[in-house]
Amino acid sequence: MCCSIFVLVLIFQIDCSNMETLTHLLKASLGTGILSMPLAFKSAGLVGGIFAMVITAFICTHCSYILVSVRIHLK
Amino acid sequence: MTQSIITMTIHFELQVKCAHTLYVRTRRTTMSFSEVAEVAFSNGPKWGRPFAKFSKILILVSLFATYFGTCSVYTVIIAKNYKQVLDHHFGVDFLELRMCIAILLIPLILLAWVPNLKYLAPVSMVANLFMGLGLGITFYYLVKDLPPIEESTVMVGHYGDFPQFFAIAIFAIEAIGVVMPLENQMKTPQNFVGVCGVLNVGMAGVSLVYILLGFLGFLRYGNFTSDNITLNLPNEEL
Repeated sequence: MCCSIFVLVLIFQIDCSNMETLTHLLKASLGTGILSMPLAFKSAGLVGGIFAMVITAFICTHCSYILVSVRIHLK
Repeated sequence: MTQSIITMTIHFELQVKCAHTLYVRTRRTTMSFSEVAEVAFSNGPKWGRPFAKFSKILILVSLFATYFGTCSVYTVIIAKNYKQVLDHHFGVDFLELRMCIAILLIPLILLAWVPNLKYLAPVSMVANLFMGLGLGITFYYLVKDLPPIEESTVMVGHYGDFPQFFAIAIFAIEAIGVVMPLENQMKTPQNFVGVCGVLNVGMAGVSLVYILLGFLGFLRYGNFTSDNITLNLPNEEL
């Protein structure tokens, strides 16, 4: 996981304050739930799980996106 | 050994979760999630304005319900992991699961008394380390004896089972409660959103790790996959 963070830093040139935020975000969503993911894949299947996970991630990101854009709009 | 490290990881992870929740509650100077809802409603179209107070309360109650639910699940997960370690060392059913949860109450209450996120920062750094270590060890055990994909492996599940998938996935990935505090404390909030912004990059990385672990875990243990992948890992090397 640490390696993946470094790769992300290299690719996207994220500065220090953004890096901190990224770490917090990873900590918040990379929780204990990850240990239950194999069970989730058991009910959705190997290929179906990948697609459904992408959809779920997209929806979650979209919701956060809406929240932040409302906040920016209100400022 | 593996299990204890992962258990510690989970424990620290819970602290971090609590810290975030506290942060949501104590960050007064900037807008929180519920305040955003309230201001949004009171500045919106005319018919929506009377609902401003109601929306704030609705958001607060929903946030409480979410975090209450997830934290309850975390407690059960921590207790199950400790129980497995205890069972291995002191014989089967040394402590009942409910007793484990009751004992966990003491450290958890003490943790909840920590008033400031700043005191938890070093602990959260250690938590990150343990988290990476635990995930690394889990991946190692999953990849070690990875079977080939067989005909019998479920490729696309039954549509009736998909709700369970979405329940677990959203439980795992949801971070809506921390989005507002994070955006508030950023020096350059304009970098948070955007195509290559922190939010997109973070979520992409997270879902990649999730897909990898879910895929490998199910491939490795098949129909014997338990509700917590650490319970599947071998105990012989403890």
